Amino acid sequence: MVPAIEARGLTKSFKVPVRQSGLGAAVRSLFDRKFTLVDAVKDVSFTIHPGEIVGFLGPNGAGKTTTLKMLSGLLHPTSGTATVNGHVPWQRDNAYLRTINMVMGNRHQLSWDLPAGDTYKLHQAIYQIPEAEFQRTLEELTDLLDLRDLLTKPVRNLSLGERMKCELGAALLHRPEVMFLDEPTLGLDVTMQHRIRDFVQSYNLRHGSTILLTSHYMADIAALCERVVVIHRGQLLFDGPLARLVARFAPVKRLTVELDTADADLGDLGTLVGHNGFTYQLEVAKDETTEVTSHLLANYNLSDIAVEDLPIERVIEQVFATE
Amino acid sequence: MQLVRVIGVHARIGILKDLQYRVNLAGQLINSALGFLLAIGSILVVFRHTDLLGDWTQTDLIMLIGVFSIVRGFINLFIRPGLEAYLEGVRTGLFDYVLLKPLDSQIYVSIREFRIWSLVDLLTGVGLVAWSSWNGAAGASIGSILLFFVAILAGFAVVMAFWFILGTTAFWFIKVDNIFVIFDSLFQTARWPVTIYPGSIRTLLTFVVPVAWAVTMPAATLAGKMEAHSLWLALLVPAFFIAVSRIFWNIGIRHYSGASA
Repeated sequence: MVPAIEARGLTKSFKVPVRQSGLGAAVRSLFDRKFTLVDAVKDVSFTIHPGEIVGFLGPNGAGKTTTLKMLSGLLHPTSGTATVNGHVPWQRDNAYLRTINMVMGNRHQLSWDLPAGDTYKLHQAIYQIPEAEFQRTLEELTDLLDLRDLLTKPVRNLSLGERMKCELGAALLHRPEVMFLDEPTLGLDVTMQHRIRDFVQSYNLRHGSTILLTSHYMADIAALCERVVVIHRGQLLFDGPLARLVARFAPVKRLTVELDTADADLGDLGTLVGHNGFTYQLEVAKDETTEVTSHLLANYNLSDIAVEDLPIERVIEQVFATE
Repeated sequence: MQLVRVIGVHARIGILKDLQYRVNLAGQLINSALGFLLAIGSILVVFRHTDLLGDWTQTDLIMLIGVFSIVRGFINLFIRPGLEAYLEGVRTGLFDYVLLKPLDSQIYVSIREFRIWSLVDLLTGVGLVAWSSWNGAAGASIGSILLFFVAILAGFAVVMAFWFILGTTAFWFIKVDNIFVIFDSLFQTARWPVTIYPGSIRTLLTFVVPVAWAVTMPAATLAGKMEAHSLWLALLVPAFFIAVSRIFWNIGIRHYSGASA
């Protein structure tokens, strides 16, 4: 299968001005600027197949957005190669740009003063979408995103969530084969996050588009992506199924037990991470879970016990703590 | 065809936007009227003392003011708004969305914004040029009118390329809004024919800040002061400026670093 996205050794360094704080330093830097080279992305390689939804994880400043921008042709890499849909992104052929799009949660492209429908018309002209096809796509997106009443209101009168729905609609009018979604649920409430997530999923199923997604909300990633790529300080840390990430970086389970005593000493059984009255929370290595459970059952008077995987947020925390 | 439709939609959006802010029309009318009175007034004052400025008559100069007005209207109608939006975009990162579109980015930047009230300047200019040609600015003839259209299009192209060359520096320096203020000040010199300025200033206004090509050249053509054979320069110079601005723009885009997220 021809990969949808292939990155080999992608590297991007930025020249960043450095100066001390204070007025004196500011004046000096007017005449004598000092720069340092910062590697935002270092030697990152991965392959994504058509139709995959891949979650791109990393703390702020890890290089996620920089990588997305290189893949969408906005930035020229310092070194390395990439092909997306068989094109070199940063050559920015029109034929290439017609097959992709990017949505950024923190930047909006819809015209503030006008209804989103006007911007949609503009995109129709830019992407040369025939009227019949435009109407069909618009209808589909209106259905999936529930845009009906939104397209005729000036964008400035929409809520953040409504605006993001309109942004997604605008980005998908030309049916891109590859979508880069950079924090599409940023700042949205839980219900709206859910809506957007459902939309991305059903859109992917319907059209088989390839989606590379970044998000700080682990729920997004857990719901949408079977595969995750983890990047930290510009370097690739992990690439594989989400389940394996959990197994590798969090080889523990969390036990919540309720006893009849408030001062039991469970420290020997695992790491005590919470203790509140009669309730104790223990983190125990996965292969010791059975042993610890039977020990608890044999030696204590249990009124309740629960065994769970670590919340995905905690796993990610551990991933980045290991570096 | 695609481009025509995109321009059409943008123009429509520009009109819709501007119609929301009618006060701006009043502002533009007052501004244009003041500029017009000041320009004509200063010509009348000068011609109380002389009949000829260089080889320009009073009617010739009124025609020149008309051309100046047309070019200023053209700049404010869409060169300035387009480039201002682009500068803002480079600073805020919204320029990302320009680069994502399957269109030539330089052309897209220049057709994206319109300030329709600037048509007032442009139409005033057309009126002045028509009136002064009718009233015998030196050698207005069918031939010179045709050449005038060529020359003024060439002038638009030079000014536009020049603004782009200035604006492209934003890829390196990010905040360069003040460059356009400098252009505005220098552009005021174009109210008079460049031929009346002393040599060094004339060279500056011809080859460094090319206001001579934008205003004096078309006016001189219409007034029959240009010999046809020197008109090839009027075509060569815009071609040169456009080529430089495109090369520079393409280098600049490689240096675009985007505002980080």
